[in-house]
Amino acid sequence: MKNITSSLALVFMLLAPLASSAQSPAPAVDETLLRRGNELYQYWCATCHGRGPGHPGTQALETRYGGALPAVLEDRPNLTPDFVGAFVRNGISIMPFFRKTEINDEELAAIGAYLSHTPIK
Amino acid sequence: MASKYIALPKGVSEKDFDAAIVKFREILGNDSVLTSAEQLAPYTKTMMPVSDAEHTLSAALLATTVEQIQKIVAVCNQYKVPIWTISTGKNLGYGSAAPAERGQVVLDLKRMNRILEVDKDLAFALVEPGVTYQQLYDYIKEHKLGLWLSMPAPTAIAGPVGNTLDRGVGYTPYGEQFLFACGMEVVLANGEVLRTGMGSMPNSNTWQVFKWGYGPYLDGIFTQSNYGIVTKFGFWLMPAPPAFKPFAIQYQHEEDIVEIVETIRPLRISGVIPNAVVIAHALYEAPVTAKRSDYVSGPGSIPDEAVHRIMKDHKLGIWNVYAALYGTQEQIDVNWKIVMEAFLRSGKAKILTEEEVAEDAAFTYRAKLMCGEMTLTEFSLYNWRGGGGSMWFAPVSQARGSETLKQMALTKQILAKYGLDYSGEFIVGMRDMHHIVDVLYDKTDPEQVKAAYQCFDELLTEFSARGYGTYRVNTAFMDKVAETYGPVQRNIHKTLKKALDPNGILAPGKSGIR
Ligand SMILES: Cc1cc2nc3c(=O)[nH]c(=O)nc-3n(C[C@H](O)[C@H](O)[C@H](O)COP(=O)(O)OP(=O)(O)OC[C@H]3O[C@@H](n4cnc5c(N)ncnc54)[C@H](O)[C@@H]3O)c2cc1C
Repeated sequence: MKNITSSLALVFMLLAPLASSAQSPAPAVDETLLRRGNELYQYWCATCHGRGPGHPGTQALETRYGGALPAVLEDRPNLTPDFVGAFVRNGISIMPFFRKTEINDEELAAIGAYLSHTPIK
Repeated sequence: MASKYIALPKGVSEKDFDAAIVKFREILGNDSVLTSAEQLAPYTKTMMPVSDAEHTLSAALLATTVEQIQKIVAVCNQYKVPIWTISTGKNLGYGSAAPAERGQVVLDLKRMNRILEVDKDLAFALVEPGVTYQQLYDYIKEHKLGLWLSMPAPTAIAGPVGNTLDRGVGYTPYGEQFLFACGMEVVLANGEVLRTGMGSMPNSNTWQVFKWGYGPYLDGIFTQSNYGIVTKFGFWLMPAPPAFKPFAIQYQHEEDIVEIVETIRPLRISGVIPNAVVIAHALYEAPVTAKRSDYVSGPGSIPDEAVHRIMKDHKLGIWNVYAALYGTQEQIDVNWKIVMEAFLRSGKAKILTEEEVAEDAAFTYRAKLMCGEMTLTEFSLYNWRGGGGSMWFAPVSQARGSETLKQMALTKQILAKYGLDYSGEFIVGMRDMHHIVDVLYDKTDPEQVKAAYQCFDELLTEFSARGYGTYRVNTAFMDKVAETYGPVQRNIHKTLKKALDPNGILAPGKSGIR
């Protein structure tokens, strides 16, 4: 198996420009889905990706982007559900994978929707 | 012809595996039998310095009931298909959710996650394997049960069943997890269901309160083993104390470890300090706030001079002791006086209380671990090198200062030979110490991968040559560690395996047992 880290890095490079251009025009907002996504994000992701010191995920992204992009995932303008999904399922570098038995596909879609939707964050 | 599977179990033909998969689907339904590369991706990532191909599974089975598991083992026996069981599957640094050997089927019990009972008065829990600490924590809060969990540092995402079965450690007074286990239900390879201890007796209500039952005590043989699949697990919880006082003590010189251990041991054995105290080296704590690249670049392990700069910049000792007092305020006041007197005697210790370091991120997460609160801060260790490579080197030592100094010096010397840093800590048990070293390396750098493998191998060789045994190890080195405990133990393990699992279908290779 080829190295997952490098293939994910590639996914990132391919998706990043697409992601930002896909922001407009704003799609219809499913508030229930976003609320669910927010809850699940707080449950599964915020312990590592939260704001402030003591959050290794945020710390890793600070180093990776060196300020070019926000280190806190909730502040990121360019995330898409597919992009989020790839990292959750495969992990990357210090981030562990999460299996379907932990976060199922619907839950993952909700987290993806929440993180891709800037306004209500 | 290309196989439709990403791997096949050793010695099993694709035709037989097809037949087994059909039966697994009949038992579990199509959606709960995973075989595609995409579905299996999360089960293939490990942090070990070997190719992930060596630990690639053939399929994952998502079971939720005891009856399903009984049927699964029947199919496994029929087709000689080996299964590797995981509960919450976060054995990071010890093999993750991947099996010991290529081609094994992972039995993923994460969805078998009922909290069956939490008894407030007797302070015990009975849970299924997929229950996470977060889930149990929320349940206890919601029902206002006033009980505390003892958790490993990955808290929220790990679980009591997997952690205890691998004989993990936490940081409260209940930190030596298996000491507080009480009663298991186990599906055996022949499909029979055993309840250990008092659980064997019909109508008994003492399964979770009396460990030993009658006759030989069996629970131990289901830990770090492959003799059964644990489907229910009982354990004791700590009643939340009226008061809790976490504190840190810093020392400036590596040799001070002798004094630290000599001071802690009597306090720990007498119960003045009741919890699993941690003595963390500066390089174990530094990643919480420091970046390695701000201090060194290029190959080689970090020089002592840089470590001293880190200590100064990030207000760390070379050793950072974290411990806590528990009880009523009066009890804590009395014990605090004893602790202060013991540590201040030589004039080397700097004692820091919560009031002084409440804002410190390292202290905050250590304090959380000591009172069973959720935190994932310790994952910052992986930011130190980046690249996702990590193996826990975990030799046991006597709780004696001279021993810890010897172990630290030997570890540092071997790590330095391979250009790796000493990210180490000692966790003080009842009379032992778990010396825990995170062998961190960049898994995307082939040179570091090679060095990390050789380094770990040499650590095991040199430590065992001096009589220092390892308490737990990642799946790439299980045979090597089993070998260090000598042939008689290996033979007994094998004899039990043959008796309980003659077809060798349960987790072959676990702890070197086949
Ligand atoms: C930053 C960091 C810090 C860590 N700190 C600690 C720590 O403080 N203490 C500690 O102990 N560990 C620590 N770990 C290691 C590990 O993550 C934990 O031990 C974790 O609890 C293990 O994963 P789990 O609970 O999901 O168990 P699982 O992965 O589900 O199980 C562990 C193993 O037990 C066996 N097993 C599991 N379920 C069953 C079953 N039902 N029947 C039979 N056998 C079974 C299998 O061999 C399995 O591989 C740390 C890891 C990281 C990344």
